[in-house]
Amino acid sequence: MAIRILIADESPTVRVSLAELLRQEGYETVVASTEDEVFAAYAAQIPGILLVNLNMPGISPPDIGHLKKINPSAPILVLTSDTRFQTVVEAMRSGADDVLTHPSTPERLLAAVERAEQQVAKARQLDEDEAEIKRLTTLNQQIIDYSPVPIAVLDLKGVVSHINNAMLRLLDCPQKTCIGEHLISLLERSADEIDGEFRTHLSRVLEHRSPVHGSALHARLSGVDRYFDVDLIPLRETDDGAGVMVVLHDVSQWIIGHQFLRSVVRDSADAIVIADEQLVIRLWSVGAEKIFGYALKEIIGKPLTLLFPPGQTDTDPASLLAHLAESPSSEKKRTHRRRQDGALVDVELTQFALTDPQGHPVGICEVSRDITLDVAREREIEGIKDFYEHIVDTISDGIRVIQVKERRIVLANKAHLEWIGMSAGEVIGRHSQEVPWGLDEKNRGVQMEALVDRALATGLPERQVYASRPAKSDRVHWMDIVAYPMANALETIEHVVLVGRDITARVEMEANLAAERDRRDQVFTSAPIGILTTDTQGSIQFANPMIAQIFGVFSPDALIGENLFHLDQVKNMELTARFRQVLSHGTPLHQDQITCASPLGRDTIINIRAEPLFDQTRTITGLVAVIENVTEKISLQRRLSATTADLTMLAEIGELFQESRDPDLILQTILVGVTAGEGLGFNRAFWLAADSETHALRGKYAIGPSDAQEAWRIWSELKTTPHTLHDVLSGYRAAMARGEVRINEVARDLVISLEDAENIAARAAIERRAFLVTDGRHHPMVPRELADRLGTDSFAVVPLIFKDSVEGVIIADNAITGKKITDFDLRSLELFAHQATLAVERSRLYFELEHRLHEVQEAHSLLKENQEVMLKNARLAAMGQLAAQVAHEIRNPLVAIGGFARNVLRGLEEYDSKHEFVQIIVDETSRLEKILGDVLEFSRPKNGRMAAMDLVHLVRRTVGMMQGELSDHRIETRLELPSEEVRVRADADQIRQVLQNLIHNAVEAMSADDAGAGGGPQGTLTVTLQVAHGKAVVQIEDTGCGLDQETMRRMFEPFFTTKSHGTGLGLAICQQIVRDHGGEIAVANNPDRGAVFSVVLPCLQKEETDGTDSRY
Amino acid sequence: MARILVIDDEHTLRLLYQHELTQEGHTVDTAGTADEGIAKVRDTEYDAVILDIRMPGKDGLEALGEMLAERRNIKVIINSAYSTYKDNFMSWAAEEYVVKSSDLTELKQKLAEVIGR
Repeated sequence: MAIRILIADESPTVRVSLAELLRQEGYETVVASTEDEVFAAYAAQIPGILLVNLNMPGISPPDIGHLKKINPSAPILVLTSDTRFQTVVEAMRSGADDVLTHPSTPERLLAAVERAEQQVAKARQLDEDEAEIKRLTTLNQQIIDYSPVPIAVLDLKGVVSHINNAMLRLLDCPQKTCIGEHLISLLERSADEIDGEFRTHLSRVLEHRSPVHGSALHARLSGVDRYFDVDLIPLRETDDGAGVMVVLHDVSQWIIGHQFLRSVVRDSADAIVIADEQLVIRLWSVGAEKIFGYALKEIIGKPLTLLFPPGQTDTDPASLLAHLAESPSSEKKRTHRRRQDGALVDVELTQFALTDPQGHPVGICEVSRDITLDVAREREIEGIKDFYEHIVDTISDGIRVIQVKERRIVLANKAHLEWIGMSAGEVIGRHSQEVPWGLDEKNRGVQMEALVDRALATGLPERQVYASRPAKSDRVHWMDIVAYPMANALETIEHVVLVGRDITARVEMEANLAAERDRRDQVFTSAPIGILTTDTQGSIQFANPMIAQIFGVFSPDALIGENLFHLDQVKNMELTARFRQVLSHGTPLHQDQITCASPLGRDTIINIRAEPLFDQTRTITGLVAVIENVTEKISLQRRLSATTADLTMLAEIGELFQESRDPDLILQTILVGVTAGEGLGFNRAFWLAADSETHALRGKYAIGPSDAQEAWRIWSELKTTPHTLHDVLSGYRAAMARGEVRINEVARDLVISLEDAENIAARAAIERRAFLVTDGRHHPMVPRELADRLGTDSFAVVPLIFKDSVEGVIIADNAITGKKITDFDLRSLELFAHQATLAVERSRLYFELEHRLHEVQEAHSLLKENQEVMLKNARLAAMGQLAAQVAHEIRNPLVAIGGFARNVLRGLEEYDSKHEFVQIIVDETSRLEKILGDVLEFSRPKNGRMAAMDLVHLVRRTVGMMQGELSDHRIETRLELPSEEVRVRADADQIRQVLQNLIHNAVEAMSADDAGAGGGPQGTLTVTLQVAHGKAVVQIEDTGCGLDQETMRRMFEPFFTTKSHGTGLGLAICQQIVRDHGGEIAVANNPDRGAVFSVVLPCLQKEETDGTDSRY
Repeated sequence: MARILVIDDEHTLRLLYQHELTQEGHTVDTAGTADEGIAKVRDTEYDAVILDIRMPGKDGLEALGEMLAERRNIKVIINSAYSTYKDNFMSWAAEEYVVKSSDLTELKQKLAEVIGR
C-alpha cells in the first residue's frame, strides 16, 4: 500500500510544493495546516509518514513526542529552519526520526522520505515478522503450555520467564508466583527434598551455555518421590533475551519401578544373583547373602561359578548363556549350590538369560530358593508314608482298596496277598471281580461285589462274614470283612477299603463257649442245690430241678419267665425287697435257715444266697440265687445242740456231785437231769433202788408233774424264769421235804423182784442194759400193775451202776406229752446214766486229788522257804570263805609289821617320844590280828569234836569261869539248872564259847553306863536250862536295856554290831556253832526289860550214846 | 646258842625272824622255798627248823616229810598263818604248832622249849 505522507506546514506553498514533489514520486500525500488537523489525521490513522515543520504553531517537540506515541510506526521527519544543534537534538529526543533543514533540496527531501519509507517498510516488515513471530510464539506457547512435559524457560540468571502448565502443576504454584522466581527456589519451595545433579548442571548451563541432557533430578513433591531426567537447553537469542529451556522428563515410574525392582532383588529372601555375560556377579540380593553367606561387598565382582557345586565350577559362560537362551523360559529345577563355608545347600533354581531388546544375552539371572526345609519335610512325609505303608503291610488283617469307578484294585497289603496267594503285580490294577478273596467251601471264588455295592449305597461301613479258604490252607476260615467307603475332599466316594479279619479262632471259641454253657447248664440242672438266675427285672431266666423241688412246683420250666418278686414263696419269706436290692445296688443277700413254704405242703428250711451278676463293665445284668435245702441238716443240728446241752448239763451235774457222798442227792440230781435235759427231756423219771436183802427193786422217788395241769404250770414257770439245774434240784428237794411231790407216791408203790426174769425192769438190772418199751400194755415183759401204775404205754428202763454194782433202775416216760420215745432217746438215756455214774466217780477222785495237791503245795512252799534259807547260808558261807582268804593274805604282812614294830619298841626308852608312836603301831597290829582271828574263826569249816556230854555240867562250869567278870561288873547271877544230867552231843569247847559269848554280851548290856564308883548291882544275869520235847534249852537273861527291833532282826548277821569295837562276828559264830550242833539260837525281848537268849540243842536219846563220853 | 633254819616264802618275815632270833643269840639260816630248806637240812644239822606251811609249789607239810626222811630226829616247829593244819596229822610230826603273830613271844618260847628237849 502506498504510504501516505502527511505534510504539515504553515505555509500553504510549502505544503503544495512538497505535496507535488511527493506525488510525483508516487507517494500519497495529505496536508495539514494546523496542529488540529494533524492530530485529526493521526486520529484517523492517516499518515504513514509525517513531514512536519517545527515552525508550525502548536507543534513543538513535545507534540512530536506525543504524535510518536500515537502512531509509533509513522516516522516523523521534522523540517526546521533552525539549524542549531540543540534544536536537532531536541527534536530527535522528542521522537523525530529525522531532521531536515528547511528549505532543503528536493533530493535531500526525497532521500529522507525514502529513508522514512524504508523505515516504515522495515517497520511493517518488522510488524509482520513480529506478527509471524507472535503467531509462531503463540503456537509454540500453546505447544509448550499444553505439553505434558513440564517445561520452564529461564533467563540467564535462572529466573523463570516462562513456565508451562505441566510445570505449574508439578510445582503446585500459580503462574504469577512462578514467573520471576528462580527455578531452584521454586523447586525448593515446593519440594521437600531436591536431590541430584540438577543444580550443578543448571549453573553450568547458565554459565557455559552448553546443553545438558539427562540431568538427574530427584525431588519429593507433595510427599511423593519424583524422579526426572532434565534437559537443560540454552535458547538462541530472542527479543526476550537469551535463556535456558528446562525440560523435565518424568522418569519417576521408571526410577521407582527400577528402585522397586532393585529392592525386590536386593531385599528378596530368595537368592537373586545377576551376573553379566562373563558370569561376573553384578547384583546380589539379601536372600542370596542369607543362603550363601557372602556379603554384598564380598561377592560383587566375583564369578558366579563360585556358587556352583563341585563338578560345575568350570562352566563356560558363553555356552551356558547360549544354552539358556535356547531353552524355554525359566524352568525350576532342583540342584545344589555351594555356600561360603563350603557346604552344599539344596536349592530350587530358576536360571534364565537376560537379553537386550535385540535378544542378545547380556547376563544371567539365578533365583535360588533354599529348599533344605522342604527337602526335609518331604523326607519326613516320605517317612510317614513309608511308616503307614509299613503298618498296612504289617497288619494281620487283609486290606484291599478298590477304586470305585472301575472297581480296580489299587492297593493290597502283604497279609491279603498272602491270603490269596498272589503277588502285588498280579493284583494291582486288575478288576476286583477277577481277584476273589479266597475260595468258599465249594471252591468258588469269594466275591466282594455285593458288599461293596452295599457300602456305596449306604455310604457307611458294611460288614459281612464269609467263609474263605486261603491259598495255603486246606481248611475253610471265617472272614469278617468290612467295606469302608472313602470320600475325598469333595465328599465323593472314590475308594472303598475292604478290611478282612480271620475270625475263625473266635468262632471256634464261641462254639466252645456254647458247649461249655451247655455243660454248665447240665451241671446246674443236676446239682444237689437249687440255682436260679434272673435278669435285671427279676424275670427268671434259669432254674434247676432242685429249685422246683424247694419252691414246690412240678418243673423248673414253670418258673422260667416268671418274675421272682411276684412268687408267693418269695413273698412269704419276705425276701422281695432284698432281692430287689441285689439287682439295684448289688447288695448280696444272705439268709440262713429261713422256711420256704411250698404249695405242695412240704415246707423246707433253706439257706439262701443271692449275688448280682456283672458284665465286663461291672454293670449288673441280673442275679444268681443259690438255695440250699438244710431241713435235714437243721434237725440234725438241733439234735446235736440238744445233746451238747445235755453234756453241759452233765458237767453241771458233775459239779454238783463233787463233794457229795449223799446217795440221795446224787440220785435226785440224776433224775432231774433225765427230765430237765434239752434232748433228754422225759416228762417223768422214777428211781427204783436195788435192795440186796430183799432182792427187789423198790421205788424210792420220782420226779415230774403228776398231771398235765401241773406240767403246764411248771414248764411255763421254767420258761419265763431261767432256772439252773441247781435251782431245779434245790426246788425239787425242798418240795420233797415238804411232801409236795405227788409223783413220789407212784414211785413208792413200785416193787419189782429181781428174780423175776420176765420183768423187764429186773432184766435191765441183771443184764445191765437199757430197754425201750413202746406198747407197755401188751408187752410180754411188762406186768399189768407196772403198766397201770405208770399209766403209760411207752417208757424206757435204764440200770444205774456204781462201782460195778447195780444200784438200781431208772424208768423214764413221756406220760404227759405222749411224745414218742425213740431209739435215739433210749440211747441218750443210757448214755446219760452211764455218764452220770462216771461223773460221780470222777468227782470223788477229783476231790481226793485236790486234797493231795494241797498237801504237795504246802510241802513245796516249805521247801522254798528252806531253799531261801539255804541260799542265804550259802551266800554267807561264800562271803566267809572270801573273808578267810583275805584274812590269810593279810596275816603275813601283819606279822612282819607288828614284829618289826615290837623289835623297834624294844629298842626305845619309855621316855622317848617315838616310844608312844611305835607302841601305837604295835597295838593296832595286835587289834588287826585279833580281828583276823575272829574272821578266820567264823569261816572255819566245822570240825568240832562232838561227843556225848552233860550240858548241865558244862553250863555250870562256864558260868563259874565267868564269875570273875561278873563280879567285876557287879552283876548278880541266878542259876536254875535241873538236878539230873542233860545229855547232848556237842563240842564242849564250842558250846562253852557260845555261852561265854552270850554271857559276855549280857554283862555288857547291863553295864552300859558304868560310871565307876561302887554302888548297887548293875543287873542280874539269869541262866536256866530246861528240857522239853527232846530239846535242851539254855536261856541267858539279862536286865539290860533290851534290844530294838532292828538289832533283834539282824544281830546274828556277820559283821553286824552295835558296839564301836569288835568284829560283829561273835553272835554269827555262835549261831553257826549252835546250828552245826543241830540246834538254834533265838532272842527275845524280856517284857521286864532286858533280853533273853535261848540256845536250843537236841538232846541225846537215852539209847544214843556213841561211847565217846566227853570229859566234861 | 642254837643253829636255827627258818623256812618261809615271805622275804619280810624271813628278815624279821632272822633279826629277832639272832638278837636272842641264835645262829639263823633262811630258805625261801621248801626245796631250798630241804637241801639246807641235808647239808647242815640244825637244832630246830621253823617251817611255814603255805608256800608256793611244795608246801610245808610235804617238806616236813622229806626233811624227816633226811634226818629222822629233826625238830620242826610249824609256824603258819593258818590254824587249820593243826588237825592235819602230818603236823603232828612237828614238835610244835604256832600260829603266826606279830608278837613273837609264843614262837620264841616254843623254840626255847624245843631246843631244850
